[in-house]
Amino acid sequence: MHAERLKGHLDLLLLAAVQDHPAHGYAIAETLLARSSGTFDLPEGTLYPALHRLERAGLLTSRWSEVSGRRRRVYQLTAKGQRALARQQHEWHDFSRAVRAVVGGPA
Amino acid sequence: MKSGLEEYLARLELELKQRGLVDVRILEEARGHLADATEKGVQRGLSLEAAEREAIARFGDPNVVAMKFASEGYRIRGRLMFAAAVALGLAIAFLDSRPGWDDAGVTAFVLRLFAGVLGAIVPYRPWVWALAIGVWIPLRAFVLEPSLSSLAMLMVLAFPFAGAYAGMAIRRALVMGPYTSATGRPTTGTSTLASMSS
Repeated sequence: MHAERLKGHLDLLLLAAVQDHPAHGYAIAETLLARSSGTFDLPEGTLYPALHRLERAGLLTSRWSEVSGRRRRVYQLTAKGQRALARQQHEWHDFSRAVRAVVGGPA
Repeated sequence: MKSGLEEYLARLELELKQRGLVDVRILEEARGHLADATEKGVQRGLSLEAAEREAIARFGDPNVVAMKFASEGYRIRGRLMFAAAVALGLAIAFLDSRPGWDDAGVTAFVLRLFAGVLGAIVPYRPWVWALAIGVWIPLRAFVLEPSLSSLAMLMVLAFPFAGAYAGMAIRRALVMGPYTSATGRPTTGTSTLASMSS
């Protein structure tokens, strides 16, 4: 999918990718690719600026951690991030339901 | 000779620097990401070189990645920091110029301390922080009395320079830390890949 189309949705996708457990950047990129069946094939390096911004906004927190014997920066949702994710998920479901209702096609 | 990954990281660092972006964490995360992606490629049966090429291609053009960081507000932090450094330097020079202020030791300590803090927050081009904080005292002396002895006041710059470089060194040591391979041996990014392929 063209990166332009993801604009405005990337924050929601990143927050959702660390919803279940903390993850480092590469794992987050893998999660996005796997869950979208290869649709969200972004340049992986461009995920980091967004992750850093979400951290500065207090929605994520990060720490260095040993993963498979190597040091990785692991991101985790904060309480504020969980609230933001819940709100954005709700907004997205409303929006996608409305778009589907207008556009039609398979549910 | 540098590996493909190291060359890529050097290009990314250059692109970041050209945009005034300084954060060793960015490079360390990129290094870890590329090592993971290369490892996955090797596990899928690619040669090390092919896996590195694929990892680099997937990470994206260094120019695009650096541009994205620039657009996410990092540049603003650098500019704010510079403005704060100049303001601090002017405030210290003002205090130092007061007739009641005669403690050069405290001035030297404060110059070193603040330059050190700035060097630690933005661990790149520490001389910028040292000058932004420390140039005002010798500058004032030279403007008031342009002479060789006033020029000698430039010696004052030794304190913020020492502080800024120490701050940068501490930050880099803390952020980058010693790398440890799966076998527990301290290693570099390049030898991590070497140990991975063996």
